[in-house]
This record gives sequence, C-alpha cells and structure tokens, in this order.
Amino acid sequence: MFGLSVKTRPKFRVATIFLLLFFSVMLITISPALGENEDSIFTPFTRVTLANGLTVIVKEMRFAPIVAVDIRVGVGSAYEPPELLGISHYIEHMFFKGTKRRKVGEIAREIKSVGGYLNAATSLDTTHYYVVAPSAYTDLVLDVTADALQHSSFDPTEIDRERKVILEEIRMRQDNPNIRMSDQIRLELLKGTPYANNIIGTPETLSHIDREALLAYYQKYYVPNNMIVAVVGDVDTQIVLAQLAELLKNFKPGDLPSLPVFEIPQPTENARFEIEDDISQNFVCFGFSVPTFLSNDGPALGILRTILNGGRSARLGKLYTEGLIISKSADYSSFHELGIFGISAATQTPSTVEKRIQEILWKVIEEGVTEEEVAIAKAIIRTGYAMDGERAFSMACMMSRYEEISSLEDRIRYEQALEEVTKEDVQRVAEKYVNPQRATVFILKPKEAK
Amino acid sequence: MRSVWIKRLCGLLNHKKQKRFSLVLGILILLMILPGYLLASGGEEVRPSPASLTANVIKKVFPNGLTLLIKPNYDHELIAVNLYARMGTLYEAPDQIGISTLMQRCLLYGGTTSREPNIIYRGLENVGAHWNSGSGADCGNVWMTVTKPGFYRALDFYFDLILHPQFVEWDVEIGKREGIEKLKGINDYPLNTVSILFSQGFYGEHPYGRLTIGSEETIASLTREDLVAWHKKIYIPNNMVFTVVGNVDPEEVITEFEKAFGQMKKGRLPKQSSQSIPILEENIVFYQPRDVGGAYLVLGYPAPSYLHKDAPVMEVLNTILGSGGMGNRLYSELRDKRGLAYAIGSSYQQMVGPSLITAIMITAPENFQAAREGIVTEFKRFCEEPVSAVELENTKKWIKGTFAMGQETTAAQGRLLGVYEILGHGYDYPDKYLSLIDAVTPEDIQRVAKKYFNHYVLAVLAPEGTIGE
Repeated sequence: MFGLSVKTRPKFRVATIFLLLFFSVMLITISPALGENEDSIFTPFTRVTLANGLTVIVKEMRFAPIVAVDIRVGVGSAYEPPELLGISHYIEHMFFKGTKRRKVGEIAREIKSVGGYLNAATSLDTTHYYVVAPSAYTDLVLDVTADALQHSSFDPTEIDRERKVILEEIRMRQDNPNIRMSDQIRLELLKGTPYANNIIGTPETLSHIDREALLAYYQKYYVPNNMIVAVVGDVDTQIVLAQLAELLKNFKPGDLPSLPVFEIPQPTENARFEIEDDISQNFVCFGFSVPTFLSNDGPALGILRTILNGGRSARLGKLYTEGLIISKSADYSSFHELGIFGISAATQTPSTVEKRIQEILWKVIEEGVTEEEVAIAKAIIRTGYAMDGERAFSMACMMSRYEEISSLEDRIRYEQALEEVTKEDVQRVAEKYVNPQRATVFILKPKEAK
Repeated sequence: MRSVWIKRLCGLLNHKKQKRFSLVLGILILLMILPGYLLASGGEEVRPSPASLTANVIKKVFPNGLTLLIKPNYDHELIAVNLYARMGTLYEAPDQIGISTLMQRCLLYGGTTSREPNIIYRGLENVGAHWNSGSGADCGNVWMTVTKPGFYRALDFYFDLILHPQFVEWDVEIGKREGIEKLKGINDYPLNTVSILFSQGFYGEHPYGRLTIGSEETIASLTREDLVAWHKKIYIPNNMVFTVVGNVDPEEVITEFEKAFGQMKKGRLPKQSSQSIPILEENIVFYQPRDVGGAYLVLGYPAPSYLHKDAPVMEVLNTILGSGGMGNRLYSELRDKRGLAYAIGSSYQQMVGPSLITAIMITAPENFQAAREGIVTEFKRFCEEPVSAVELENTKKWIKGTFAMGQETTAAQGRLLGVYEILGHGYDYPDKYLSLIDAVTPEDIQRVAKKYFNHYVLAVLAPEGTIGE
C-alpha cells in the first residue's frame, strides 16, 4: 500500500514509521479533537501544526483509492507592490518546473507516470498547488510536494522561457471576453484596495521581474508558517503526518507576511457603468460588496444566493420563462476580509433585464421569501455538499482554503448555521447588502460597429 | 452484509427467482470465493474482487428492450440516476440539426401533461435534487442526483419528465430564442471559432461538422410538433439505458422502473446518417483572419472510431502526445522547452462515426510557423520511431490511474456505465478496456500512426498576414 516499488522516493519501513511517529509527536502541536458535527462532510479530520509552523490537515476518505494534496500559500496578487505585479503568478509557473533533484518536466512526468495529475492556480490572496494520484503512490506525491516546496530551482533559462509563456497567457486572456469583463468589474468594485491588482501582471512588470526578485519574493512568502497542506483520500493519517514531518523537518519558518492595510470599500449609491466590448451579446451584471462567507451574515447570504439562482425554481429562473435571458448566474465569492455577491445575465434586452433583476431583488426585500424557498435552498445546498464530499480533490482544496481564511471549525459552524437560517434572516441580509440601491451595475454592450 | 451481496448477485442472474435460490446460490458462491477472499482481506467482509470495476452491477433488460443498470454503493447517501438514449446530430435530418438539443432542453422546462413546470421544479428541488439534461452528437442524457431520503419522491417527477413532457408552445419558442442567441455569442471566443472552422473543414457535409445546438436556420424552423415527433422516436424503451448508482435497494428500483416503463412498446431505433466525410489527399489549411492577440491553431488527423479495435492504441498515443496536462510530449517540447505557448494539448475525439485526433495550441502570431512545424513533428515522430518501453509503461499507468480516479463520484460511475452501454461497448467494458490498454505495444502505436497520420487539416484563427501566402 505504500507503493514501495517506486524507486525515486524515500522508503518507509514499519520501524522507520514508528520512529518518525515518535519524533513527530514532539515536533507537532495537535489541535483539539474534532468531529462533533457528524453531519459535516469535513469531519472527522486531523490537523497538526509542525514545529516550523506549517499546518497539515489530513482527512481520510477510504471509498476510492485516490489521494489529493493541496498546498495553500498565503500570497496572491493583493500582496504585490505595483512594480512587481504578476510575481505571485510567475512563481506559481516556476513551482513545478524543477528542483535540485528533479530536472525540468520531471515532476510532471513522475506524477503522470503513476496516473496522477498536478496543477496550480493563483488568486487575489492565495496561491495553491495540487497533486492528485492513485493513493498507492501517496509517498511519491508527498515527496514531490515537499521537494517542490523547499527546493524549486528557479533556473535562469527557465525563468526567461516561462516569461514568454506568461506573455502568451496574457494574450489569451485578453482574447477572452469573459475574463476581460470580470477583470473590469473587479477593478471597479474593489478600486482602492490591493484586491484590484491584476493577477497576471503586465508585459512591463514581467519584463522587470528577474531571478533575484523572484527568489526574494519566494523566500519572503513561501515559508512554512504561511502555508497549509491538506491531504485527503485513502491514506493513513498517522503515516502521512510522520512522512511530512520528516520531509519538511529542515523547512525553516520566516516572518509571517501580512496584507497591505486597506479600507474595505463602501458600496456606492447606484454606481452604474456602461462598457462597450468586442462581444455579440449584452451582459447585465450587479455587484454587491458583502461580508465574508464565514462571517455571521454569510450563511443567510448563501441561502439568498440559492433562492435567487440555486435551481430551476429559483427566483431568477423567471427571467428564462419570460424569455428575457440566454444565461444567468449568481455567485458569492469570499476573500480574507471581504466578499462579493454578483448577479449576471446574458441578454438581448439589457435595460429590461436590469429592471427585472431590480424588481426581483426589491420583492425579496419588501415581501421576504417563503419557508418553502428556504427549505428548498437548504436541501439543494445539502446535496451539493454531499456531491463535493465524494471528491478528494475538492475536499483538499476546500479544507486548505477555509483553514486559510478562517478555520475549519468556522466552516463546520457555517454548515450548522445554514440549517438555522430563517426567512427573516434572508430578508434582512437582502435589505442590508443585496440591495439595488447599493449595487454597482455594469452593462456590457457590443461595440456599435459590430 | 452477506445477505446484501447475495441479493445483488441473484439480481444479476435472475431477479424474479431470487428469493427461492438465494440461500443455495449464496452458499455456493461463498464456498467459491471465500477462501481466496479471506486471505486478501483478513476476513472482514465479502466484497467483489477489486480487480473488477463492474462486478456488482446488476443488469436488467425488460422485455420491451429497456436496459436498467444498477450499481449499489453504500459509501454515500447519494443516488445518481442517468438516462442515456441515442440521439444527436448523427441521427438528425440535415434540416433538423439541433432538434435533440432543443428537445432535451424543453423536456425539462415545459412541464408535463399533468404537472405545471413550477410543480416539477419544486417537486425535484424540495428534496434537494440536482438535475439537468443535454445532447451531444451521438447520444443524449437526462440526469438527476439526489440524497437517499428524497429518492423515490424525486424519481416520480423524473419519470414524469421523461415519459410525459408537454413541450408547451411558449417554452419551445423560448428555447429556440435561447439557442439562436447562444449561437450569436459563440464566436466571441476565438477557441470556439477555430474549433468550428476545423470541424467544418474536416467533416464537410457530415453532421459532425455541424454544431449540436444547430444553426440559426434549423433552430428557427423547428416546431412543437417536430419535438413531439422526435421525442416519440427517440424515447422508445429499446433506445433507453438507465443507470442507478448509489445507496439503493436494487429490488425496489427494478420494481419502480417496471411500473413506470413496463407497458411501453418497442420501436424502431433511430438511423444514423450515411453521409461520408471528405477524403484527405493532401494537407488542407483553413485560415480565418481576425484581430486577436494570439494565433489559435487546431491541427488534426483522422482516427479510429469509438468501437474500432485500434481505438485503445490511439488512446495511448494521444496520452503520450498531448492529453493529461503537464508532462506530455507537446507540453514538454513546445511549452516547457521552447516556451512557444501557454495552452497546448491534444484530444482524441472518439465518435460512433468518423473520428479524429487534434492538437490545439494558442501561440504568438510570430511563432505560428514554429508552432505548426512543432505540432506536425510530434505527430510524425510516432510514425518514424517507436515509443520507448518506459514511456509506454508510464502512459499505461497514467491511463489506468486516471480511469480509476474518473470513477470517484457516484454520478461519474453512472455516466461511465451508461455511455459504454448505449454506444455499444457494453457496461462491463471497463474491465476489458484496461486489459486492451495493457496489450498495446510500441509496434501497434507506430502501425496506427502510419495508418492515420498522412494528411492533416489545419484551422487557424489569427491576425491578418499571420500564415503568409
């Protein structure tokens, strides 16, 4: 089960494991026991903090022979100074490139050779790296993960080559109207905060980011006390903890970086923007500044989102039956200190749809929602959680992220709080946050010439 | 635990006589499998051999031809129900292309003969069901995932949708409008445009060259009566495969299906298009200039069809070439080593009819020639040199690992069983598939490459002047 046949990874014999377990107990602080909420997809789990400050979460999911490892680093574009815009994402590109032990391309080949896959993503305030593979190769996955974390080589030739790749990515993003539009909306909604930073950077900033800058940034943020590793799947918790403690024993902590101080933007009164683009359809987008997912009002906002758009019976579904829209969405995104609640629809009649969305929101605020709607929303969310709970990869990503922005306990409490949300709560948060008077509205239109 | 497995095994053999034979059969089976299993498991519980992915699937074919596949899985509370039926562009008349997509959409949203749309929506969503439908080029589906407590309530609404959709006039008109508006937005995305350009060039008049959503003309011409007639033609029991995966009692499920579909009459299966695809006698390039930042390339060759004996060989080749993310040849050579692209990969589109393998790349316009040559070189390498034993072994491991990981969820297990069954491999193909992949040799790959990689079709969307003369 340990996959001892793979030659490149360290071999763990039973005696070694016990020895490591003994030492790991001394190295780590074990969190309070968890698992009180039997209904949560996240419980039971084990979380430990290694002596160097690295948080490790392990969740055993034994029903499929799969392991998923998600490494979460507390850095993203919001942390970048203007001259280094794009550096977090640049480092993400270099991460699986190669290490002292593994040449360019070797990490990916090794993981692929056992049937696994790996990838990474950079966001506004987080970067994560994930590897998913058959659980028979758990020790290889952990070894690769630990190697990349500590020994990424930042080869100068590779840095130049990857810069070209990122420039291609910029080009590709600019050709995609969805990305262009969401970037513009985010910039406007979060103006004046570091969250308005451009994740990918610009050709100008990228041309100035050299090996020295990359290494300095990497050394500052890629410290164990700024990281969370979540391991989910068909694994043995104690063995995983012992392996990670051994593999990361020389990983030295650093000063914990923090986000630049900023003021959370206050919603403006009826801000409205009309933007022309090379598109064929019109889009109507409403953006609201809301508290984070795990705040006190988060659960009611989650229910509101589902009542508006969670299924075919949801309120925005009426726009379909009225023949007004081609597609629609309602999202609730949450970062460290702020959240965004967005509603958007593709349509050929933007002014009618804008008015109808306002009417739908006003109706919730003025008349409230029904008990049945709240019950349906809870049922849909519950099934969604059960579906999430089947996938080791989703679980690893969610667990590392929730631990990063708050704690897994808060996330579990969120599930309990969802069950307690009343129709009055929904009406209250709608009035307070998802209120047309506090909306920033974007109308995206095809250019006249098109 | 033992009695559950005996029930499942009996269901597989002969459901109606299950009670009578269960004891005798159970003892016989246990005698056959127990010693070996005890060695492997330490005697904890009786489970089917882990080597088999479909051993606990119960297949029930009703006298009218309807196929029901049940895979009990008690690890979760979830139950996934999936219906697959042959439909899609391969079966559609040229002037009705898009009818399957429209029918699948209107089936869900127009209500049934006895229930208003909103009653259906709320009925399903009251128990938390997630549900949807769709159609591709070869088949379509209607799926629902729900937790155990609401399963039978949701199943009643799900059956009603499939059996008695009303296709109300006003909703059909909305569906048509939605389709036409969606078409307008498709070309806002350069990757869509270049893919369409490629498909039209490669497939010519064959229906695979048309979008499954249809064209503005075909969608506009469809009527409620067309949908009713198409539903009658497609939703016949011998064209339907249902899969039920999850926390269910197979006996109860079979009873429910018998009640709902037992009286339906067999019909004539829909006919596939007999249209052939253009014969490639030289490389063909389709170029559409557009003011975009990058050059978008799709370069493809013909490939074995879904049921062809060489399909597993091409699958291995495709994995080596460019599927599966970082680490494949296209990624390593053109992105990692030469920094030519951000996005690059390959795809083997196994269709029931004529199939293809494509490489897709987005590069800077000034790199266009290098990208094109690089892609062709990687295809031709398979003809010129055999793949190494190590590369082949690693690829097989990747395919097997990915295959196993692809069945992680209840819904995915249902999809896999349903697609294999409806498209002709049989639900138990996963077990054969892995041994077919194992049997692929370097010589097989070279033989198949030489057979198919002769002339390519290339579609390019890039700024004016990118590809020269």
